[in-house]
Amino acid sequence: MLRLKDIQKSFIETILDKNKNCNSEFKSLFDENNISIEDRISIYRGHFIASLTAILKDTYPATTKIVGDKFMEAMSREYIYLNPPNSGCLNLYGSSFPEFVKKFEATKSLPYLADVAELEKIINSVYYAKDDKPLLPQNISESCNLSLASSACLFSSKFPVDSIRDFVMSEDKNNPQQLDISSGGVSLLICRKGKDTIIYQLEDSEYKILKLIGNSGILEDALTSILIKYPDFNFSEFIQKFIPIGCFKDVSY
Amino acid sequence: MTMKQKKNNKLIKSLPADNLLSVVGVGLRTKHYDEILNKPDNIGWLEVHPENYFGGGINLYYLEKARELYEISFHGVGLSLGSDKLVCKNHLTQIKELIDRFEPFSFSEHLSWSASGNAHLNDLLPLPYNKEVVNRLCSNINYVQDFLNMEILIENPSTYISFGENEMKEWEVINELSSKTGCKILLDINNIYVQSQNHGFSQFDYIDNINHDNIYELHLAGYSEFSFPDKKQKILIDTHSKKVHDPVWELFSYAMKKFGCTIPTLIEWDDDIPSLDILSAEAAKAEKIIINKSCP
Repeated sequence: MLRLKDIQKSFIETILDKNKNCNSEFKSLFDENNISIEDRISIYRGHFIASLTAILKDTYPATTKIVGDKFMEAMSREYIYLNPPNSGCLNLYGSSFPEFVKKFEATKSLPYLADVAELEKIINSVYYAKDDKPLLPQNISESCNLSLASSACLFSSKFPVDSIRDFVMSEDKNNPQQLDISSGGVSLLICRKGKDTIIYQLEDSEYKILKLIGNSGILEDALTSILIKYPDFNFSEFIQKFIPIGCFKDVSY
Repeated sequence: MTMKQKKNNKLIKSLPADNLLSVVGVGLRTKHYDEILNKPDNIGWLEVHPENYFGGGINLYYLEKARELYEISFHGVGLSLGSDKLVCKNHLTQIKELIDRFEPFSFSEHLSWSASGNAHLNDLLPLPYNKEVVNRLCSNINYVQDFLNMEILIENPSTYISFGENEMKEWEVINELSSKTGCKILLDINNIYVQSQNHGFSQFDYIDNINHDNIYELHLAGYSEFSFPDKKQKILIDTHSKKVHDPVWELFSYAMKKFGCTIPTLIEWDDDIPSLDILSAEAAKAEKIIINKSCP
């Protein structure tokens, strides 16, 4: 009999074979017992694909609604064979799916789809992000180091992705929302607050200073840069708006 | 009681008795997060997949709340104890952090493997039963037990393919692992029935031969019957998606008489998850068998 290492390598290669080939050396390891080895392996392959497809559909519900269940299942199957999990924790499985969607030939007619998927990926990562100690107003000074909380993330798109997501996820068929897909892009802050994940639409200046804070962490530097482009930027209003959201973590802690 | 104390006590066989409604538990699942906090009838404790609580966020909020009301067990699904490589230290570290925080009364994993090379499949894959595999499993179980500073429980799997050159029966592998490493046994009654039907042996022989002194938890679940297109053969799949079937209740009753002691028992249901009323009724049925040592 083959060594365990070789058996496991062959087992995984066989399950990950899209063409469902099963070589004779591998087959000879097992008892057929009235059911072919190919059929037996198909149970494992079927579970592998079905359970990961369910995870992708769960993480990307708006993307699924846009393309439909059958298309999502076919697209997921392609993705899963190319990107099997590499960890025993599947909470963030499929984080490269938006990038895959962007390059997927059959979705080229839906230019906004990859950005909708990216927004859903961020919502999922914010859902599972660790809990930081939030920054309190009394701990803020111009020279302090600021950092976005692990459960806060910025995203900008040239499409109104939040509206697209709301539109496709709306369950109220009697009062359908209106969607103007040409209404332009959005800059967003996706942040967990209590038990809820909330999507905030940002002004350009808000997005840019949050981005600068995320990059450098030094409030004074970010403020200096933003005042050059937005001389009327009101720092006090900014702090009053964003501290209660809980999007900053206390880096001194 | 701290984990260290539990280790010194050789792991508690029964759940802590204070305020315990039942020795039967159910899985803590997202669908029931709010309802479970109202302490529905017949549910004595909760089983938790620790991997679902890696990171942080809302799931941890609910686990904190649930822990205030229930004893919990941790049932790992991602360590891949049977892989021909050492268990992932990062994964194990995250489990240890959760154990230290929530103090479950047990931590269990599976007699199976999932990872090879860079791939980690989301499944409990079958192992050949021979000395090489026993040695590999012992090495990983010892590593995990040393890291967590506690004895763990190992669960018998459901499999859909069997190796032609198995040198040992499955229960012999489990008994040997327990004897060599001090790990305890999580005996899944449904998996024994599924294995017996899929691989052709007596489910009662399994119960008769497993070292019942080392069984610290039991699982009950519903299987699905799968028919291959255009073929007569059927195979049972451990889907955790239905009520416990009659032959599994009968085997559970047989095991209760054989083991003669009260063991924490879980109603497992992970797919097509029903209302808590249905889970509660299944738990009540299990409790009745445990008390009467026979099927109702």
